[in-house]
Amino acid sequence: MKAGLSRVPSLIAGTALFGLVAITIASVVMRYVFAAPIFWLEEVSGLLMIWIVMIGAITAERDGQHLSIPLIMDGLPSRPRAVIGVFVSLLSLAVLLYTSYLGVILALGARTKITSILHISWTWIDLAVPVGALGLSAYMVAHIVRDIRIIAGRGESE
Amino acid sequence: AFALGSLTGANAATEIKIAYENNPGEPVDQVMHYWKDLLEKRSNGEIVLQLYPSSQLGAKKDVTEQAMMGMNVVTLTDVGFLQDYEPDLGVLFGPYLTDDPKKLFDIYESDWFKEKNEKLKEAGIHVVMNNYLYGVRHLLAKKPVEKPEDMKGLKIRTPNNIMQIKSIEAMGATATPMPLGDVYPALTTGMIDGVENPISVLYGGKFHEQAKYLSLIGYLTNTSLWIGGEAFFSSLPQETLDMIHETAHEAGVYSQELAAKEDAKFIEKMKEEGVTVVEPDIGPFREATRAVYDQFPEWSPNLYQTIQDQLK
Amino acid sequence: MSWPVIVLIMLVLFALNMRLYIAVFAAVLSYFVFFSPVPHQIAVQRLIGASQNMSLVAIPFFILLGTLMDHTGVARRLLRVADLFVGKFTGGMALTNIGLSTLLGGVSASNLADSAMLTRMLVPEMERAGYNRAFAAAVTASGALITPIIPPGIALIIYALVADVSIGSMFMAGILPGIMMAVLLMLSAYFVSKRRGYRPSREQWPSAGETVKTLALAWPVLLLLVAIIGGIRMNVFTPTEAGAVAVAIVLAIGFVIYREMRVEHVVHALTETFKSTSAVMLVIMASSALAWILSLEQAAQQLAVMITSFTANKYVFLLLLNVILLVLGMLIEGNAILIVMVPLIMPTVHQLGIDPVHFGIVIIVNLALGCLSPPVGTVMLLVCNLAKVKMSDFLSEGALLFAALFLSLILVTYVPMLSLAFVN
Ligand code: NA
Ligand code: NA
Repeated sequence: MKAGLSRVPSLIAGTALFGLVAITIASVVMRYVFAAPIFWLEEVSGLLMIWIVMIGAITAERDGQHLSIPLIMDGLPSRPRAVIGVFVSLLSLAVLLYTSYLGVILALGARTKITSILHISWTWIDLAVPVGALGLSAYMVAHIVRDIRIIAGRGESE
Repeated sequence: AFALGSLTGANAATEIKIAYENNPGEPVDQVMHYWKDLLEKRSNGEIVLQLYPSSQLGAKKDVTEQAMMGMNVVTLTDVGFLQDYEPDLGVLFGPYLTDDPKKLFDIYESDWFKEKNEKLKEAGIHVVMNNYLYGVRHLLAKKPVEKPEDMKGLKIRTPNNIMQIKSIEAMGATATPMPLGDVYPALTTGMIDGVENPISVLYGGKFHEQAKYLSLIGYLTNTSLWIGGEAFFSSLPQETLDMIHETAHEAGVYSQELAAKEDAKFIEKMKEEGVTVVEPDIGPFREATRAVYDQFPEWSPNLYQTIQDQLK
Repeated sequence: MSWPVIVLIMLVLFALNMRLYIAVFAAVLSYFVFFSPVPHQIAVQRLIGASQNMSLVAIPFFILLGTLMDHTGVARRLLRVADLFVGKFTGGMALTNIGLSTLLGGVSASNLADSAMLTRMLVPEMERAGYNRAFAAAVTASGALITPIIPPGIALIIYALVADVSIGSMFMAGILPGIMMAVLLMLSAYFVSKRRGYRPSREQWPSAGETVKTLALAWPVLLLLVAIIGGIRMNVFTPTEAGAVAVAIVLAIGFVIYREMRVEHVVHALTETFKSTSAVMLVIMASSALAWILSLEQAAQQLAVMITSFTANKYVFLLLLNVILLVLGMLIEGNAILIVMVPLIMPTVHQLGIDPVHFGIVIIVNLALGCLSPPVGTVMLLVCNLAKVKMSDFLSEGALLFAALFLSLILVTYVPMLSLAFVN
């Protein structure tokens, strides 16, 4: 069940990326074969791109692919490292949750901000941020639980 | 930098941020410096304009949104863009609406526009300057264009604006929207054959290094508006507000003088740099683009006629 | 002057191993919360803003392209062709890598896209051939820095516009410094390979028969190269579109011609691609929100005032400028720096009698190096992520290469002829 759920973001981001490649190729074909460029390419590309990034970020977090500089922390023993880890994860969680909240405010306020050609409301672009940030928050909670177990001496210290 | 004096009612100077996409040194930047100096002098330094050229604060849509959220920012926009908020305004960006820019500016003072202005206010937009002349838009291409037939098969870059796309298509060319920053390489590779814009912008982008024919089709007298957010401006004292509007109007008048002067200057410069200037009969272009006005079902009925009556 | 505080917060969070994008955005939010009356949701607007830039769409396309090329045997066959010509040299694959970068530098406008593709395509092959992976990644990243300097390049155009020099002159001026960087990088790669004992892959030059046979087997791959490079050169599409079209061609080659590709490969490549795209785009997006704050606070103006106050001597001025730009380049994106700072510095440049074209190349080379420098050097982040290499290994393995790049900057700064030789 849990493994199944974690595949949902992957499916969404993968499909969106495939769509992005497909419409870009289509626009080249339309321009050359039919002399009719796809005017909405830029708008739809932007929409797909933000969803790919925000939803893809959830899968990247699952697989530990986000970038950081572990240089200094790697030098510490596992318990102090876990203590700092909990602090950093809590702060990250706060940042992500506040970002989700701000993203919702932004999205709701953007109903009159529409794209020039397709008249898509910016709400659909902005919403990617809270959706992605909430997904990332779930993993952050998991990291906190893991680190607390390490501090309590019950967890694995990788 | 820690407080907006006016929001907190403190006695610090009122700071307003002016954001635009054009680069330092371009006519837009010159007019803004003119306005800044004028306003600072007249307010004895109480009202300070900070200039942010080159899209530093974001794209036009983003800065407009920042203003509507309550930030103390003013940005350059036009009716082609504001039609998202009030569809009828789009007509003022139509092709060959009038021969005389002066008449076009009269519309911005008319009761018709005052009514539209109220609607913008309700949407949270505060018009700060309504008499800015961005310039008359011409065509710079790799081929001379004497008549609409010459446009056939040409790929012309336009902004991502439905009215301009339809106008260029109505003349027979293929409109190709892309960011202005991509135009130079696109001309180099032949991805596009030309670009439309006021002459000063065409020269400023150095596009004439790649396209050697300037056709003075003048299809659009590009008036512009400077707008801020109602949330911020309604918080200013009436006296301050009046001073901002008065000086803005004077800066607008300066923009009209500058546009005429710059056009003549840049045509000369382009000629010196090997550009052939073509002066086509615009009658056939006007005819070709008339149908564009029938393509906007979202407009009020008889809008085109209403405007033409105003223009008489 | 609240921005130094924000930068400091960010650096502390970096040191605590916080995800880079969260650390940058935490610093951004701290500005909105503690130092500014501006509505907080603008922070999120600025985060999204960078993702709407069409040229960045090239990043996932070229990552996907490189991944598919590795999966389908296309990369292997391409390297076999390259091996015909450089196999006899020590470190031949490293030299090929840099050579390909230089070749792509002429067509692509983005060093992110180039480095992404080459990393996915070449680093696995180099590792199989016995190269250290971090070294292979460092070679790829360094080579990609040549891209913006060799024409056409967006940075060359932007500089020409803000400094009011001819774009044609800037293009001519970029050629020699670009080639010089390639040569210096190749020399460093050669020395490292020699010391490490990365031996030549072949003893003798190939026979005519072998050459013909290898080329014949690799014709679809060569077609692909011609399509990408030729397609952009010969008026057909933008670099972003070239990426998408090349993906279609690779799929056709993989499914129809070599028949080594399956649907699972495509799904896997798509997954790998969006994960890497997310990882690097989030850092770019958060940094651009930070850049917005630096703009709002007019940080660049303050630095420009500082730089222009040192006008006694043009060599001192250039040195100081290089130091400040290297630091600033670690924090914000290069083109943003160009647009904001150049107009402010130009009067001093003219006053000191520095040629504006030469000055432009100095700035552009400098900002290119910023793409490699920690903490938010975008090319370094992308390459480390794609090659699955630790930043510390990347930096130590690439030390000699980075020294070569640094030497290039010094030469470009103090030998104006390198930039001006072809400019009339
Ligand atoms: Na280039
Ligand atoms: Na950087």
